[in-house]
Amino acid sequence: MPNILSVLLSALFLLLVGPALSQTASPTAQPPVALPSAMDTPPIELRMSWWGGNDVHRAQLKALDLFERRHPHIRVKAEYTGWAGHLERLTTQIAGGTAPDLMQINWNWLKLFSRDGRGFYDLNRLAGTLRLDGFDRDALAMSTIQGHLNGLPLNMAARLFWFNKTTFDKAGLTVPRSWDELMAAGPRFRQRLGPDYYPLDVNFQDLTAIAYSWIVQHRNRPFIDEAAGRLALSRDDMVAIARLYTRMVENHVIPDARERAAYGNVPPQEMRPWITGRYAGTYQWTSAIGKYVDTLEPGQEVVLAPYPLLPGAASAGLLYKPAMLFAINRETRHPREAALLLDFLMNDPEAAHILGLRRGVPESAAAVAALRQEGLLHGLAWEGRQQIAGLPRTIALTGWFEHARVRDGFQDIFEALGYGRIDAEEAGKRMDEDINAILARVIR
Amino acid sequence: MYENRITGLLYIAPFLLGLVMFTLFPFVSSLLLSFTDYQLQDPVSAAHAIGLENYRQMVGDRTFRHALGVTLLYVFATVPLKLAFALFIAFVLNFKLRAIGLFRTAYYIPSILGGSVAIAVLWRYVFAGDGLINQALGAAGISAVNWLGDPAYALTTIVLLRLWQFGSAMVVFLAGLQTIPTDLYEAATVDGAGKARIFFTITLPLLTPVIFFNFVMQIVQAFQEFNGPYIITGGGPLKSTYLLPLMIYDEAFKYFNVGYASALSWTLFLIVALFTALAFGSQRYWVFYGGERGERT
Repeated sequence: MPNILSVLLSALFLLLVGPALSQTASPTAQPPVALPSAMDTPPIELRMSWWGGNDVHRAQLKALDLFERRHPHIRVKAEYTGWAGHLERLTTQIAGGTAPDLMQINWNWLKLFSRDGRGFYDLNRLAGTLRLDGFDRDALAMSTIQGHLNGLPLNMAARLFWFNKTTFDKAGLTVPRSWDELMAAGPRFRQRLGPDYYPLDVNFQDLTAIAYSWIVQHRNRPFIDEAAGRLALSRDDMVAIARLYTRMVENHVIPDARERAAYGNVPPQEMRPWITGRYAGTYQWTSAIGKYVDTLEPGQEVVLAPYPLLPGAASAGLLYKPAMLFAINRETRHPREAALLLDFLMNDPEAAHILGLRRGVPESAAAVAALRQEGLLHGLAWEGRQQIAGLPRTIALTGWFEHARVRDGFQDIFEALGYGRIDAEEAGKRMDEDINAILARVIR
Repeated sequence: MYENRITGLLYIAPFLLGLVMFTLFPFVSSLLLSFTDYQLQDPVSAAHAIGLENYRQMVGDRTFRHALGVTLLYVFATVPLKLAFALFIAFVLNFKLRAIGLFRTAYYIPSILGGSVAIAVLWRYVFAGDGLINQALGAAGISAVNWLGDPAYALTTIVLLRLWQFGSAMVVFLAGLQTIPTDLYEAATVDGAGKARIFFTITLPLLTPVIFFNFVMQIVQAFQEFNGPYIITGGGPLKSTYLLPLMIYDEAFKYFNVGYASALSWTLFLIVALFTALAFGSQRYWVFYGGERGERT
C-alpha cells in the first residue's frame, strides 16, 4: 500500500511540477523574437480593453476580426465598456495584476500608473514590430516618461467650441468668433428664443477648461508650474476666472448651476436641452464631438466655431494632448503579439478604413494617408484637427491639470460660487489656497 | 465518522472558500491597510506603516465630517420612514381581501428591482427637472420642484428611492402579523376595544421582535447606501447627497488613496457596529419576547 501511494504521489508530482520545469527551461532554448506559426502552436490569447460608444465598439470588433483572420495563431479577447467607471475597472485590474495585454488609457493616467515610466511596457523595445515613424514627434514625446514610451496616441486632441447652427440660425446669429461675441450671444438668445435657450452648455469640468484657455490667453503664461508644484497664476488671476463664470451666467451664456443640476448626474450629451437644441453649444474634445452629434434630434447641424483668440495672445490656451493612448501591459507574456495588434490597429490601411474617424483623426501618418486616399478625411473631427494645427500652442499642458483631485477641487469651488455660497473674491481665494494645497500634495 | 466529517467539510467548502476569499481576507487586509499610506497604483510592498495617521487625518477632514453628517441624516430619515411605511402596507395586506396574493406580490416587486442600477437611472429621469414627477405636478397646477438640483431636496429623492424598496421589510412584518393569535383580537373586541387601541396595545407590542429585526437590518443597509446617490446625483449638488460610501469609493478608486479609504471603511464599520449595539442594548426597554420585555422565553 505505501508503495502504491508513493508511486501515485510521484506521478502527481511530475504531472504538476514537470510542465513548470519545462517552461522555466524553455526561454534559453528558443529563438528570441520569432513569432510562432499557426501550424506548430496553439493560438495565443491576447486581452484588449477599451472604452467608447456602441459605434466604436462595433468598428473595433470588426477590426479585431480582420486581425484574427490575418493572424490565425492569435485570438483577441475584447473587453469593452462605456467611459463611466472605466478608470476604476482598469485601476483594479492593474493593482490586481490582471490588466489586459493591450489597453486604452487616458494621457493623464500616465501620472497615476507610470510616474517613473515603468508602469507600462516601453514601446521603444518593440520598435521592430511597431512602426513608430509615422507618429508626430510631439505626440510621442508627450507619451514618453523618463525615456520610456508608455503608449501610442490614437490621436492628438484639444477642446474646441462647437455650436448648434440650427439654433443659432433661429436666433438670427452666426456662431461666435470671439470671447466678446460669445458673451453677446447670451442676451440675444434670451430675447429671441426665450429663457430656456442658451448659446453654450458646460459642466464644471468644461468650465474649468474654458477658464484655463481664457486666462492663459490673457496672461501668456502656463497655468501650473510643475517644477514648483503650484499654480503659476496669482490669486487675482483666480478671482478673474471666478468672475468669468459669474459673467457667463449673468449674461445668459450658460445655464446656472441649479438648472444644470436639475438633470442629475447625466452626461451633457444625454441631457434633453442638448438633444433638442435648447443648449446650443459645447466646449468639447475633437475626439468626443461625434457622440454629441449622435444624440441630437434629427434636423440639427453642429458646426465648429472659429476659436476665440485675444489680440496678442501667444497661445490659444488649448488643452492639447494625446486624446487616448494604447499601452501594453508591462507584465504581458506576449509583448510581440500585442505590438503586432497595436501596429495593425494604428497603421494598417484596412484597419484605418474600418475604424474611420470614430475616435477622431488618427495620429498615424499611414492611417491618415489611407483615409485621405479613400476620401474619408472630412467632418467635424477633421475640421477640428485642421483648426488645432493653425492655432498658437506655445504653452504646453501639464497632466496635473487633469488630475482628479485638481479637477474636483475646481469643481467644488465653482459649484459653491454657482450656488451663491461664496462670491468671486472668496472663490478666487479658495482656488489659490485649495488648489495650491492639492498641487503640493499630488506633485510629490 | 471521519468520512462523514470529510464529506461535510467538502459540502461547505465552497462557502468557506468564498468567506475566506471575499469576506475575511478583504476584512483583515483593509484593517491592515488603514494603518498605511498605500496608493492603489503602487505595489503593496511600497506602502509605509503610518500608524494612526489616517484616523488622525479624518478628524480634521472637512469632507469627512460633511459626509458623516449627510450619512447620519440619511439614516435617521430613511430607517423610521421605511419601517413605518412597510408596517402600514403589511397591515393593509394582512386583511382578507380578494386577490390579496396578487397585491402582496405587486408590492414586493419594487424590492426586487429597487437596488439595481437600472432603477436608479430611471429614478434620475423621473425626478429630473423635466421628468415625470414635475410634469405631473405641472398638470395639477403645482409649480415644479428642482428635486435633483436643489440641495434641500436632493437627499429627499434618494430617501424616496430607499422607501420605495419597502418590500423585504413588509414581508417580514406580514409574517410577524400572521403569528399574532386571533383570539387576542377577538377578546379585545368583545371587551369593547377600538381598532386604534387594539393596534397599539396588541399588534404593536407583539410585533416588536419583528420591528427590532427590521430596524437592525435597515440601519445596516442604510449606512451602506451607494447606488442611489452615485447614479442619481453623483453626490451633489454641493455634496448634499455625498454619503460616506461615496467618499470611500472616491478616495479608493478616484484618488487611489486606499490607505485612507480603508480607514474610512473601518470608521463606517465601527459606526454601524455602535448603532447596532445601541439597538441591541435598547431592546430590553421596548421589545417583547413572549410577554416579557427584552427577554426571550
